[in-house]
Order: sequence, then C-alpha cells, then structure tokens
Amino acid sequence: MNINFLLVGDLSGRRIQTFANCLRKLNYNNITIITWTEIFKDISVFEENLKPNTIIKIEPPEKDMEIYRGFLKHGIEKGKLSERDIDKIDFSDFKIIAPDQWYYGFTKIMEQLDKLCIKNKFKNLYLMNNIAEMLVMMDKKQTYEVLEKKLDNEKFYLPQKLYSPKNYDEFKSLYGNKSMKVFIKLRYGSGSTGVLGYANNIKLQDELVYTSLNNNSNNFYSNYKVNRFTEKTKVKELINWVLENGAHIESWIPKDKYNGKAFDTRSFVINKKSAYLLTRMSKSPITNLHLKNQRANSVEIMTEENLEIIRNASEGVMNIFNKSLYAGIDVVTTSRNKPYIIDVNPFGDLFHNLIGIDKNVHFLEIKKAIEIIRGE
Amino acid sequence: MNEIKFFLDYDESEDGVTIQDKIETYLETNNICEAKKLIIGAWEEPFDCGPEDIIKYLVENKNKFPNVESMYIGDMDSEECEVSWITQSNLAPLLDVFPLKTLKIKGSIDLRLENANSETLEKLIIISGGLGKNLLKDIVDAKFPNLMHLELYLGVDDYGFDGDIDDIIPFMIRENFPNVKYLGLKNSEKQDEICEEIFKSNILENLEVLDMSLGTLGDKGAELILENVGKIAHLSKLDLTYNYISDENIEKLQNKVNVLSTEVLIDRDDADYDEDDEWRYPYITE
Repeated sequence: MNINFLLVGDLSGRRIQTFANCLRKLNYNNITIITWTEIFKDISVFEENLKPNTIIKIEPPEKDMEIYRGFLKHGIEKGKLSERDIDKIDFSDFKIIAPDQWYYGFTKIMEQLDKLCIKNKFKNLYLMNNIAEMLVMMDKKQTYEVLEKKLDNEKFYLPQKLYSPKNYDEFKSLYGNKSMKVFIKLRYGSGSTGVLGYANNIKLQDELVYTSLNNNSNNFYSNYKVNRFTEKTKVKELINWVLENGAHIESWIPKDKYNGKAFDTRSFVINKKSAYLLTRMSKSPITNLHLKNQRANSVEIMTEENLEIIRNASEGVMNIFNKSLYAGIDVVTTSRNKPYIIDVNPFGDLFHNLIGIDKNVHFLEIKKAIEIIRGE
Repeated sequence: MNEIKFFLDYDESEDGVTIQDKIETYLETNNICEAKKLIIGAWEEPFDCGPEDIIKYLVENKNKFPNVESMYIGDMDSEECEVSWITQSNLAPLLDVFPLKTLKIKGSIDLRLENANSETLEKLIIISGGLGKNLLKDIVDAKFPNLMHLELYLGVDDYGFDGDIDDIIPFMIRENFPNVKYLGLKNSEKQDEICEEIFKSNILENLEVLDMSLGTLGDKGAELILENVGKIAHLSKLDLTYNYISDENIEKLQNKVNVLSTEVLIDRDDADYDEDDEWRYPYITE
C-alpha cells in the first residue's frame, strides 16, 4: 500500500517540519502540507488532498498571529469581536484576545474538516486526531467534566473543582472569607497560557498570583517567565481577565519535590500506553518547559513504583479519551505519590531534546498510524 | 535513625488528619522515636494556625523522643505555604524540655521564644520574610550560654520586621552572645546599616563566619568592607551572596580579599540589580 501523509498546521513553528522530517527519515516521502492560511482561503484544498490511503495529522496554530486572526473571524457568530475589530488587532505583542471566540472558530473549522474526512472515508483515510476528543481536551472545563464522570474506574485523581465566578469581585465575595490556594485556569488556554496560581491569606489580607500571564492595560499576553504578583490592582486585573474569558478553577495540589524543586511529569500516551515520561522541575508552581524550567529524566529521579503510578494514571485518562491515538498527560504526584491529572494536551507530542530515549515519539505515532491504515 | 519528618500532605489535610495523629500512629508501632533530628513539616493550614498543639504534644511526650538533639519546626516550601505566611507560636517550651543542640525554624508570624533557656543550644536558625522586634528581644534576653551559631533572616517590614537597626545592634554585642562564632544577620532590608554597625561592634573580633547574605547590601556596605578589610582578615568565611554591589566594587572587593585567607562569597545570584535602592529587596520577601 502506498501511503500518503497530509499535514495541516502552521509553518511558523517547528511542529510540521519536525513531523515531516521524521516521515522522511522513515522514507515516507508522499507528504502534503497545508497551512491554516490556505484552509481559511478555501477549505476545499483539504478535500482535494485527501488521496486514497492518506494519514492525516492536524497540528495546532503556533506563532503566526494571522492564523489567530483567522480563527477569531470564524468565531464571529458566537464572539464579541466583529470582523472590523479583528482586522484592527495589532498582534505585534502576541496578545491573547477573545480565547472563547478563537475556540469557537477553531471548533467550526475542525468540524468541517471532520465532515470532509467522513465524506471521503471510502478512500481509506486515517485521521490521527479524533476531532471531538481533541476539542474537549482543548477546553479545560470540559476535560475535567469528562474525566470526573469516569474517575472511579481509573487509577488517577482530580484536584477538587471550584465554581468559577464571573469576575474578581464575585470571586472575592464567594471565596474571600477563607485562606485558599487554587489554580485559576483560562478555560480555552493551551498548557500554561492564562494559568494563575492564586493564594490568599485572610490573616494578613495578602493575595498573590504566580503566572506567565501579564498585561499592559487591556492587553494580556503570555511571558516566557513566571512572575509573582502581590500588588492588589494587578492581582485583580489578572483574575478579572481570566474569569471574564471563561475559567476553570481547581485546588492547588502541592507537588512532590526533587532537589528542592517542585515537579510534575508529562506522560506521552500512545495507543493507550505511556511511551515516554518527562519530568519538569521548577522553583515556581508552573512547570511548563517553555517557561525555562528544568527537564529531568523521570526514570532517573523516581522509583519504578512511582513511574508505574504515573503511567497508570495517564493511561487511565486515555482509556476515557479512547478514540485518540495520542496525547500528553500532565500528572502531579504528591509527596505520597498520589497522582493527580492537571492537564490533558491533545498536541502534547512535541518534545525538544528528548532525554532517556533515542527516538522521537513521532516515530511511534507513524508506526501505529500505518498499522491502523493497513488494518493490521 | 538520624532523622524523621512528620508532615501532612494535601489529602491528609483535607481529611482532617493532624501531625499529632501521625506521630501517635508512629509511636504505636515503634513505641519510641529514636531519631536525633525531628522535623515538623506542613501542619494543617499553616497560613492560619500555628503549631501550638504539636508543641504541646511533643512537650507532653518528651520521653518518647529520648535521642532528639535537633529540631526543625516549619520545614515546608512555597507549594505548601509561603515562608512569610507560616504561622508559628511560642517555641520556648521545646527548649525547656528537650536538650536541643540545634533549633531551626521557618516562618515567623506569631513566633516567640519567650523566656527561652537552654544550656545545650548551639545553633539557632530562623528563616523568615520578617522577624518581629518582640522575637528579636526574646532572643537577646534568652539564656543560650553555649550558642555558637546564630542565623537570623531579618526580612522586611511588609512581612513582619517591625524594628529598626537598634533592635539588631544587640546581636553584635559580644557580652550577649559570648560563644557565637557564626553570626548571620541576613536577608535584611537594612543590610548596609548592619554592615556599618558590625564594624563598630565588639563581636566581629571573635567570629569565624560573618553571614550578611541575601539582603540588600549595596555599595555603601561594600565600601565599608573595603575600608575595614583588616577587620575581616581573621574570618574563615564572609558570606555576601545575593547583593546589590556594583560591578566596580565587586571587582575591588575581589582584588582586596584575594590576598586574605578568608573565603568571601560575593555572587550576586538572583539579585535584580537596580540603581535605585528603593527597588531593592532581600532574597526572601514574599
């Protein structure tokens, strides 16, 4: 069988080229790349490239802010920004704007691509991403709800969920009478985007926020550094923005420590098996690697028993998202090794400089996708 | 067994377990705790409640800890509780009943060492965002005749330091601390003033280590050290790690101390250098 690959994504980032290079290394050279910009121009380009025996991989938008603008425009129907507003946005500071509208636009396009795949099913196509599950995973609130329903059958835990009020004032009137530590997460934010580690102390009347989110008056954007804010106005502005744009709030689980640094572990699960573990260590409560945190080989810092707990927890998540070929599952273990799921990333397969294994995880994806399309 | 730590994790706190429950469970199995070092980590809601009940329990059950000579009360990190939010209590009763050589404490809200008295205590370390002047006075008034190592993270006024240099000067009077060899007056927003007073004091002469790290030591302090370099020549170590000294003065200091046998730690570390000293902060100032 002559297999074709169709990759959809954003050429400004590394994802498409990294995956295409893996295909070439394995001598799969029938690769077609379509950018999101081309899809926006005319979605039929996708169908035109659905040749017989095609494996399709959808990659998320990366650094090209015109793609961001494009998805916002596709979300106008349910969003607050008009086409004119969107055209006027200056994205030079990589601001995050109307994430709910962006998500709606993304959903609309994804559903169209999904329909085209179903329509052309007779061509023997295999879509590596399950669109419906991918869209759930991109919404932290829905992800939590889906996992919560089936929690009892699996070997993982979820931090306690809290009701998400509309704004800071409501948040304070609801929770302001007790000391607390929570994560206020932007519902439609990817990874650490829009995540606030929030703590307040009633006795001292102190509040603090750890986050990579920052703002310049009404412009909110992600930094490559986790800041710690205690100034009341700033704390209020950040919380207001996240709550107003849709949030998911959950309790802050103290992470286990290694060499004095808190850590969590990204487990890459493919075909329901955890294939790679990468531990992220940080002095701050937000461990994502693009925030210049330190990576560690999980195998070197944890016992086999602990590793197995993390593997089982992440595999449990993918038993629930059982139509997806792969995802990156972020697991926090407490000092007593109880595994809590804090994020599920449908695009969690991009690992730079893998340590501890000599092959890119994309090789595993390719191998499995080929087996599936061949009906093996 | 050398050390043992009792603490609550997230689930235990949620379930209402206490540190006393955990010690009790341990003692039911082991009868006594043979550890030399006893560490008390996160207790239930340390940002709201102090460890009074734990202290009371330990004091009442002192015979169950026959070997303990070192204690660390409040060993928790920011994932569990911010340093400046850790609520403590009067820990003097521990010193009354346990022959401690070392007492390390993290957190200083409501921390006291009232009428503390210990013939055995050699090392006292208090890590905090700010120490209150009541506590500073407790330490000066305490009877620690064998204290050799005194390390105080003095902090800032936003986090509990409510004194001024006059509350710190008593730590530089040799008569108050006749055997102290390691003096750490550190993590202070008054680091330059401390440096100035140290050189006027009578404690420096018999110190082995002077630790003025983690504070806002700037060029004023650096110039004082340059002028008084002869007075630090006998030290085995001078710790100035994390400082706000200019490149020029760091170089001058390095050149000047190179000829001494004193180890001088002068790494600026994470200090966010700012010309304007209004924007300088000690290391732990949460």
